[in-house]
Amino acid sequence: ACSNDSAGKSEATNEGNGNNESTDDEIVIRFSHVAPPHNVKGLAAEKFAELVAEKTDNKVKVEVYDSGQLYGDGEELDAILSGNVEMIAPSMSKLVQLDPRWQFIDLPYLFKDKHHLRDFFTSETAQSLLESEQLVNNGLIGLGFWENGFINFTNSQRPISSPEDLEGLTFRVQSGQLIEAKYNTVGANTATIAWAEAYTALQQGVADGAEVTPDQMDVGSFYEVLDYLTLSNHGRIDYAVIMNKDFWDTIPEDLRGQVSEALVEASEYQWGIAEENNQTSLEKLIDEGMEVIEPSEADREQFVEAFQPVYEEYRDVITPEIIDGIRDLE
Amino acid sequence: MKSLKKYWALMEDVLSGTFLVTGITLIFYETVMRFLFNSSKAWIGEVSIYLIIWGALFGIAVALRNKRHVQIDFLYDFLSPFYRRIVDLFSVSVGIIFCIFYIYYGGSLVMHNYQTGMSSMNASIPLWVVYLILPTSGILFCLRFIEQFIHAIRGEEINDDSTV
Amino acid sequence: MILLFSIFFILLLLRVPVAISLAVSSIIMLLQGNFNLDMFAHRMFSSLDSFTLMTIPGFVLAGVILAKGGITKYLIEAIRSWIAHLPGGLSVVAILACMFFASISGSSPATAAAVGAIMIPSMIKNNYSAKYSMGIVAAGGTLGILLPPSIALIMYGVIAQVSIGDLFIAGIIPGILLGLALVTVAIFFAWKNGYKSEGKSSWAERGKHSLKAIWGAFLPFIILGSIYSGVATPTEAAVISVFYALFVSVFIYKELLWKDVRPILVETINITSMIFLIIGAASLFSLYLTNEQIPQQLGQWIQDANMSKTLFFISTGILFFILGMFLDPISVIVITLPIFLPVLEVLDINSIHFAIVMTINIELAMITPPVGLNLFVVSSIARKKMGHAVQGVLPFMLVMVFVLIIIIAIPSISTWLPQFMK
Ligand code: NA
Ligand code: NA
Repeated sequence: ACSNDSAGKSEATNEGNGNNESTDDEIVIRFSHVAPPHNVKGLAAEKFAELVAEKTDNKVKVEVYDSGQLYGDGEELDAILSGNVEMIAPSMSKLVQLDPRWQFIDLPYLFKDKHHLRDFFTSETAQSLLESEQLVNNGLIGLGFWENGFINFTNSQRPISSPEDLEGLTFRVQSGQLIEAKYNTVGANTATIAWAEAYTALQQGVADGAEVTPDQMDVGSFYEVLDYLTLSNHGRIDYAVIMNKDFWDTIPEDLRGQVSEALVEASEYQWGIAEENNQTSLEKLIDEGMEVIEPSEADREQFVEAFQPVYEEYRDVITPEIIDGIRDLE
Repeated sequence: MKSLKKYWALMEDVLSGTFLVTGITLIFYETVMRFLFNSSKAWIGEVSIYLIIWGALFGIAVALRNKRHVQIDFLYDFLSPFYRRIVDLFSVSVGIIFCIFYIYYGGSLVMHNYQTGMSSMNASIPLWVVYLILPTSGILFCLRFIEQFIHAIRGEEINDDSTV
Repeated sequence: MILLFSIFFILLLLRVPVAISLAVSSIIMLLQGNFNLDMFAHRMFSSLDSFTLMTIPGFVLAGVILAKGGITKYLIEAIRSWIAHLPGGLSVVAILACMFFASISGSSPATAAAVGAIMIPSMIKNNYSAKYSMGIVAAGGTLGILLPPSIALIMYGVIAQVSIGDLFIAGIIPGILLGLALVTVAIFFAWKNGYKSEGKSSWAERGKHSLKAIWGAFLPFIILGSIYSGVATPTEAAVISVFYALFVSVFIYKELLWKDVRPILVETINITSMIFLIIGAASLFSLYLTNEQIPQQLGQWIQDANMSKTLFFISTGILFFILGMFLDPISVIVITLPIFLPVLEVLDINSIHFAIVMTINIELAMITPPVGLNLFVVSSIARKKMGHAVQGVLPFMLVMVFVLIIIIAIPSISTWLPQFMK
């Protein structure tokens, strides 16, 4: 079985190098991601693989490598750049390394609701990011977006219903300068802590809180160690679906169209289960006895106001076109 | 020649030690700052990781000089001096081959990141600078292997006391 | 996979360093699979790019300072003043000193080296046999990676994405259990061989020695305390222990001088760089294996074969033992753990339990020839052949196997404390 596998892969790599002399050969897309198979991203990847097989009549095969088994969080971008996989779906903030404009995703209160977000997904602004010079010149092309959800403030100290409540708290973050700037703006601090250590750090008080989606809160069992959840919906965690462009261009046009169709369908499916999943998780968090705070519209305005300096600081980096382009969709 | 060797070793130690100590001290500083003033900066964590990796990778040449990369003498102990010399030449050559790969691909990673202009997540350091350690440490490592190769050709035994 | 392991072992036998053997055998295999090697250097770098891994140089440096700055010496003197007069007292002192040093240092050979440098010569001077003295320190030293902090458990946590804090806590009860088992064997042998005891210390001496040692005695509590009070992550705790040890050695014991700086740093670099190169090289090894889907196939195979947990523990135990005969502990973990992780899920084995079992397996490997790092250490201290150390360590090894079986059979020995702490 080993040798068959590697034979399959060499074909794929040959394809990637532009050797598409025969379209009878099966085209293999190696899709590497870091989520577990039963997670919404994992399910969507499987769905995408099924749809591609169905639509292309098995001429294109998607091999899904889940759980970071092939490449971890820090290396999948390099893996696709060097052509060792054809497709990844990293958290959007990862693309900041290539194109700083992607920091838009960390801007607080940029997206009003899910409709605003979905409008953005299909907008010209989104296209300009997915097919940007920075990506294309590096041999990448963005094909679409997958969701995780709206993030909320959660912590172990006190109910948060105004920006003042954030003052003095330390929030666990993954990484990112904008996020740090955001918390500093309201007098809070950040601690960069890896996901694997996050639970313990929150339990022991190395960090007081975190900003996560209900799904992440549930998966990480944060509800066991944190008491307060503010449904602030103040930011997003989402994924960009990225393909190796050299490889993408070698797929015959008809097949490429079918793969694109498959991705559109898989994405719609993904958005659906992501939303459902967050809903289920939220119910679980309430059942587990978390105190849920729902900020009023006036509260929300206060937060938006308080975070305004972040927009000013990052307007040049993210560019007015992107920020206004997204705002205008509201 | 003797003193050149001495200063070369000193340079290796200073390079490696400085980066390692700076990285560790930076983590300590960050810990103290967070504990006393509840203030922390993400870039410090990132920079301290890079500093320590730099120190450790500069150090692979130091560990080779001190014969501290774990080797297995199981077969070696049974061999006659003649065959030992052949085994020494072989193992050192494999080391040099590794270095060639490491330097070449490390270098091409630097070039690649120079072209794409990627930079680190928190401190925004250009990644090509961060990756410079790969070819650089590879060259230092390789020089130590070449030294051992010359020893082996001259028939001087490469002693090993690989303890940790 | 067979080809990969064959090349790897041939290189090893031809005295190519472990890290280079790992890297070169993987490169050869990856080249065959049309793999784009552009990633090779990046893979090595990114396998080191983790804040958690930075715990390793921290604890290594702390351990070196402990051994050279007087802390270890005074700790041993204190323990000695209390119990050296009892039958077999010095051998019990050796094990207790190992347990104490293990609670500060993350490495087994470092533990064996620090304690052995003081205890082996004094035991021999007091008419203990050299074999026995070497054996007890080599075995006691293995506690270095079971009692927290532990480089092995850090590596496990990094690869398996398990909290290092939880793993550290999980090691406490099994570590104490194993320590007590070793003490029992030591007392038995001392009684059987009629080893004399040292003269009894006066209460005044005991008080004086204990007072002097108290600075070092704080360290284990500072390390675990800072992690569990929320002051620090494990990495930060390691660094705190460095600066604390430095403070005590320089300002209180005044035994660390400027001339010691370079040897201390070089020793830290030797160990850290050796480990880091192995981690980087092993990441290439596991890259090839995952590329070939070996872990998944193994998981599938174990599922299809309906393998029981017991059989899995036995077969992995044998595998670790065989690999451990030739490899150092970090290599064993970085090579095998990625292969077994999917299997743990299939067999529903608690990953913290497996971590402890694996650690004890690896401890056994450190006292088995031909590559037993602790054996190297004690034989170089006693200036005796490694074979003597092997003979001396054998009885202790048997009791370790016995403890291992108990720990496999009763998972809660490993999992109870971390759960209780929550
Ligand atoms: Na330890
Ligand atoms: Na061994």
